[in-house]
Amino acid sequence: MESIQKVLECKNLNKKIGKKQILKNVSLEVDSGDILGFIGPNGAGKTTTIKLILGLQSITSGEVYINGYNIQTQFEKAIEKVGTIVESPDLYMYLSGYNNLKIIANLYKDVDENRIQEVIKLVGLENRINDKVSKYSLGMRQRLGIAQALLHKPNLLILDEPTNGLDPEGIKQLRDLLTGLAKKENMAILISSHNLSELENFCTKIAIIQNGEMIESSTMEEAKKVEGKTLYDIEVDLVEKSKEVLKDRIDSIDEKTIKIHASKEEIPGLIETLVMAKIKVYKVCEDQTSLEDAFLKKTGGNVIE
Amino acid sequence: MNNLIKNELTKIFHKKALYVILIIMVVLIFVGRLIDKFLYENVEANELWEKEAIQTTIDSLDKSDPTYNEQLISLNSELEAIELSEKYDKNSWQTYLINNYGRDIIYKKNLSKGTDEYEENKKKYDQFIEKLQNNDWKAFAQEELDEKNSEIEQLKATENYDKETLAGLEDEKQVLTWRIEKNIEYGNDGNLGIALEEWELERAQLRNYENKEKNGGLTYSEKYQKQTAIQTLELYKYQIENAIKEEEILSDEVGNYYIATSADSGLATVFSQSSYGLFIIIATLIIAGTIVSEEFNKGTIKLLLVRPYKRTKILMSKFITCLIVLAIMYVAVFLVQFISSGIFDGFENYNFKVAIYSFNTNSVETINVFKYMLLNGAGILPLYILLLTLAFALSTLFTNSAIAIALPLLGYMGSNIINGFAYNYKKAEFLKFFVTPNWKLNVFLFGKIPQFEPISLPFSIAICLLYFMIMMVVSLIVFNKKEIKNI
Repeated sequence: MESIQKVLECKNLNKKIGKKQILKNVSLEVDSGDILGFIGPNGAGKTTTIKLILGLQSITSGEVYINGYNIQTQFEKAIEKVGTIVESPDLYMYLSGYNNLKIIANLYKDVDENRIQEVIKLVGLENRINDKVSKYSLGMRQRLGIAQALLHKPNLLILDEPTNGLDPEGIKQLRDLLTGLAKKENMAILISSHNLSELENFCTKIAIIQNGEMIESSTMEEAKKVEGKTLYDIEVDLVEKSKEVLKDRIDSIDEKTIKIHASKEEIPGLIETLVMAKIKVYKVCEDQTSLEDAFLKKTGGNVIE
Repeated sequence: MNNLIKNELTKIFHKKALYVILIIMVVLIFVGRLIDKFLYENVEANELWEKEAIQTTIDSLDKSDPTYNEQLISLNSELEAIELSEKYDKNSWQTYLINNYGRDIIYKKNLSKGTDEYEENKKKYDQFIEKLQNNDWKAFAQEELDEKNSEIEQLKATENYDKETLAGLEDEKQVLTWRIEKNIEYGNDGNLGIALEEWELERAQLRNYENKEKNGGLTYSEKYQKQTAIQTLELYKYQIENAIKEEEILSDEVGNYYIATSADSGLATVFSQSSYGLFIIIATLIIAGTIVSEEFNKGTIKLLLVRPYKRTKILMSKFITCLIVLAIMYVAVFLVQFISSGIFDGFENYNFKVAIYSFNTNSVETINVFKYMLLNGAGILPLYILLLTLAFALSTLFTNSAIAIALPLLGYMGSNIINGFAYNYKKAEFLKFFVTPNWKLNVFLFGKIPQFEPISLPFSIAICLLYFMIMMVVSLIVFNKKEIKNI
């Protein structure tokens, strides 16, 4: 990590449309090498926040700095090293994939033909790049969208729901691509998604927004905890007996597993209790849906106000 | 900025709309020329039908009723004249004379049957038939000229003769003199024959305006009509004196009269005739009306606005692109006209002159057809640019392509109605601040006064600039403030 400067810094963003407060004091930070998962229920203000960051909508109050430049007063400098997909990959349907990239390449000084070919290869569109975009599937458009975002070698990548329409393989490729970019090129990435398990696997930080307010902004590990506790799965042979032993600590049970909210420090004690009661413990692990669980607990379900 | 414009052009040239209009234009212009060339000649009056109609009328009349006598004689004389003219070629000078003089002679002869005058009338009739058979129209013209001279002498001999009558006679004499000098045969010398007749009519008109001017002055619209009379009169004179047989005097939609002195006249009208103008307007409106709104509607505007360019630059690049499309349409319309004329009339005659009457020098001047075209093209440019700017501004304001295309088109069509009010009602003077009476600068060409009194060239330019600036500034402000809504 060479620079201490934050790549993206939002300070107390407020957005009012008419009388309605869309965003309340939203603050965000993304460092180079970070992948920030930006999550929240529908209508929470994710896309609006992204549009404020990109200068697509006016900011009622607050500030956005990208690479140290203020988006409102130094727009051209601030936006220069940003690559983005907002909402959906809206491309020129009547142009070929290549022409879409070409006209965007024209807008930057140092994007040459080689770079275009490089990016096409990176997103795996070599075979269809000369077809019109109107013939593309949603997944292919998503790939082309990512290609146009990467074209000018940005150091901040802002992706709004980039996994929409991608098949499992595509999602894996995107995940690997983004992880690679963050690690190798030290890129800062902000990614919003509904697909929580997707984010869980590769984001380093997480920000949760609800009703226009940030309710949490922390590292991945922190985010999974509800009041300092993470959800664990413990596989045992006698589920009913375990229930008796641990009483109301258990959150839920199924055939072979009990689920418990616990801090890391509590785990050895819990195992010991079970073993003492002659219950066989086969496996203890973090619950796969721990982020989703934490998310739902924190947001209180999906309520659009 | 250049890159932005290049991108916009790439987008436009990958759309079908522009090509569809260009193809329709090419097809319509070519079809139009074909119709001109091959179908026009077939439209002729059917004399057979005329004859039958007269015969039917005669049959239907009650011949025993003496009140119908005179009508019967008249109809029979008609028939006789038609039968007489059938002996000669349809375009011959004989047919022309029969139609213009013969009918009267035949009618007089038939009417006086059984009276004392019959002998004299019959003699006149026989002489007329003899002249026709002699095949010498000049003798006929000379005789008319001699008659005219003696009439003039007689008139001058009387005391306090009517000067107006004399002037009329002098004009008739002039027509006959030209006829003999320039060898303009009665009837079949098409355009020159018409020119002689029209010249005489316009002379009468002009004398009428000149008399009014002396007795208390002309209203503005009469002044404008006098101006038209002078233009046509002088051009007919020019046509007769230079014996330009192939062409007729044409006028464009803003009242500029001209003669395309040879070859094809179509080229001279390229930028002044509404049929070509409509293609230019529709093509530019479709582009200007969608260039901003479509990007908003399809969401692609976000692709543009997250680039390191100020919004002002992005909008201006789009506007300049529209101007480039306008230029392309100008060239396209010109080329299509040029090529279609070349194919139908031959390319060799292109360097021809256009004759116009200049009020700066008070004389007929000839100018190169390309210069004439450029003058007209430049004169009408404000109209195209203002319509385009309106579509562009609406497209930016409402991000609705349908409104952005339809409103300016409606405005263009409605401009004739508004201008009609401006020309015809004194109270409509405030319309001078409206843009439509001002946006055709070619009404001022060659020192002419415009049909609408309160405007002048500098005033019109100022009004056009004012409207342009308002539309541009509003568009820029709105575009810069625009929030990119979630879709």
